[in-house]
Amino acid sequence: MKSLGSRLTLWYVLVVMATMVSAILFGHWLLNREMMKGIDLLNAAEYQEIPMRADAGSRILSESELLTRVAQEAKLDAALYLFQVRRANGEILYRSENMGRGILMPNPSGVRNWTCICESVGPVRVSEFTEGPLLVQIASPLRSVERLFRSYVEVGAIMLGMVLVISIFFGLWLKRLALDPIRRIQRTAARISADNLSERIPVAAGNDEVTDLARLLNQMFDRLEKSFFQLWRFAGNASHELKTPLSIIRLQSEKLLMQGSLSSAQQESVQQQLESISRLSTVIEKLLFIARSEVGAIHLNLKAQCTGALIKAFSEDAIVLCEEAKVEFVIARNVETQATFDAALLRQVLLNLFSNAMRFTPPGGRVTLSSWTRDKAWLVSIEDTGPGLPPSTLDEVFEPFVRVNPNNAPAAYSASAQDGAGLGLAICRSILLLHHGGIRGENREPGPGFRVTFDIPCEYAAHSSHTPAWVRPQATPQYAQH
Amino acid sequence: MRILVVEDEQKVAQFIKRSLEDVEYSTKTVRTCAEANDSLADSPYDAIILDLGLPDGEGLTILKEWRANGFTEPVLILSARDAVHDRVRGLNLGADDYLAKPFSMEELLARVRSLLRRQVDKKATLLDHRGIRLDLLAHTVTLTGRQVDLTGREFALLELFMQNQGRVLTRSMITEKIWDSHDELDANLLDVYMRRLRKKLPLASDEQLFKTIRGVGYQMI
Repeated sequence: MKSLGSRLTLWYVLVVMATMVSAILFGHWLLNREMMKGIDLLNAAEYQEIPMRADAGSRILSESELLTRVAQEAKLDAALYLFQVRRANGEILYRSENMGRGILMPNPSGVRNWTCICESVGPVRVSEFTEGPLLVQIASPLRSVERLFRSYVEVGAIMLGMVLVISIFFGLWLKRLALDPIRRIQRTAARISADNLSERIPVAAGNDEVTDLARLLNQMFDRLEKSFFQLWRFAGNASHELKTPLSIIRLQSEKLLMQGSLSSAQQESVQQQLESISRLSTVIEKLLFIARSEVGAIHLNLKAQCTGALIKAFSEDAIVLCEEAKVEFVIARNVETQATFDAALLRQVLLNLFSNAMRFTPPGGRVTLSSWTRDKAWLVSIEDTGPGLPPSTLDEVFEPFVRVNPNNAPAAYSASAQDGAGLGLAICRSILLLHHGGIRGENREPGPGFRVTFDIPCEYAAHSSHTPAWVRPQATPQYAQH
Repeated sequence: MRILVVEDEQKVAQFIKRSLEDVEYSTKTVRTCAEANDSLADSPYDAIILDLGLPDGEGLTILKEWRANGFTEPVLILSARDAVHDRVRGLNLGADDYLAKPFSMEELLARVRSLLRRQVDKKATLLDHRGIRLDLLAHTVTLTGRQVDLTGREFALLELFMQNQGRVLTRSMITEKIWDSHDELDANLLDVYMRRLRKKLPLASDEQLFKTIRGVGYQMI
């Protein structure tokens, strides 16, 4: 029972069924009580009939006279009643013939009417009357009453079944009625993103819990919109305030160089200054990117496209860079599929991961790219034959400003000369989160080597090509043989 | 050539004005959207350099107005803010080029030149330079009659230089054109490709085909 809707239906059905079952049980009890009362009255009336047949006068009937009259009455009403006469000491003086072998047990002391089992007759309702020293018991068999109750239970069960079906139907209707306003809120809230933060949930007239909820959510969106724009303005201002002075420093340094009056050592330091300025503005840009992607303020240029073209364009550059570094570049597997992504950003992810891999791959090593699909996801892994990372740091490397030292090596992952701030892998993660994907790092088994795998949702697995023709263009030299 | 610079930061504006005037472009600087509109109403300009954060409004807003009113002058946007976002928005609104602060003056000059040239350029399909012949239709390159094998990227790169013979192409202009990216790619990548082009196109007597301009870019000579 995952959804509130189905739980609501279930509760409704349970409550209706419980009410119905209690009503039937209570009805059973009430009916039983009234029936017994009626039978007791009939028993008493039957008893009244016995002395009525005695001779007029106040003469007390003798024991044998009484027995005779009881026997007469028993014969008369044999179809309806059982009769038994006993002394107070328990000795049975008379049993009507319709009792067969059975006898009536004496009533518990002080109880006029009770129900017991009479052998060969079944359950009976016994009433006991005192006639001088004798006890007269008159009993009505309960067989017909039992039949009545069986029918009652059958009808009850049929009604329960019908009520179950009807209550499920009404439960579903109730669920719709109760949850539709919430669904509307849900749809609007899901639609509101960085692009349309000013949209609000329509609030119906009235003052119930749901409109209260809608109003509360709208207030929350107001606050969200406000802080969102504050952040936006802050990022814009920070960026402007940082970059304008940087521009002036840069232009002044360039002017110094252009004037040509500097010694070569001075020229060198001004050049370094210019390079630092470029690095600084790259870091500012990357930080802004991470900050904005965290609040969903990055506008992706999403297109449904084939992943093959992305890998192809990337591979051409990767082959060239690998040749230069005397490292082998291998595409172990390339399953093409259709996915929706921002090609420029994903290429940046590939290049970042690739640069990281290259930095730790010694000449003669190998960088391997694989891409495949699994459960509607397109996965790409890039692995190197470098030293790998200490296992405890595998998750940290995707945090901004984190530099992790690889096993037995002085250099650090995600800290290159040009990004300089340990932001490369953090940006990769931001980009993949924007694509509803993920990224993780692990050491290769068997090692040594580090592997980063990322995934984004894809539509289907089109076809697999293990050695696509374009991986090795005709101009590709023998980069693995040196 | 007359250029209008809309920039509220006085120091930056002065640097731009001086550098543009050094290369014989007559330049006027204004600080606000209102002044920019007045200047445009007064006299025609060949290009406009537009900063986005102006004291009396948003640069993109007046750009939109200009384009709606039929001003077709080439516009180069200068921005200190979100490079990715502003670039896409600016180009969508009709800007011709985009440059993020902090910028290098060489970069600005190269882009302004390319902006002014865009007006008159016609694209040839057969490019010739120092014995190199690049056929855009057949997608072939020959060096003194001999066929040269180039990969897709190498071909695109050579074409860009052949189209801009003698002009300085900055690193970011090249990455924008060839990799369709405004981000720093692997810093090494462009240099590696340039090295390969040089190797595949050896000129006689150790002459240089490409000149490296440190911190700026390359020039085909």
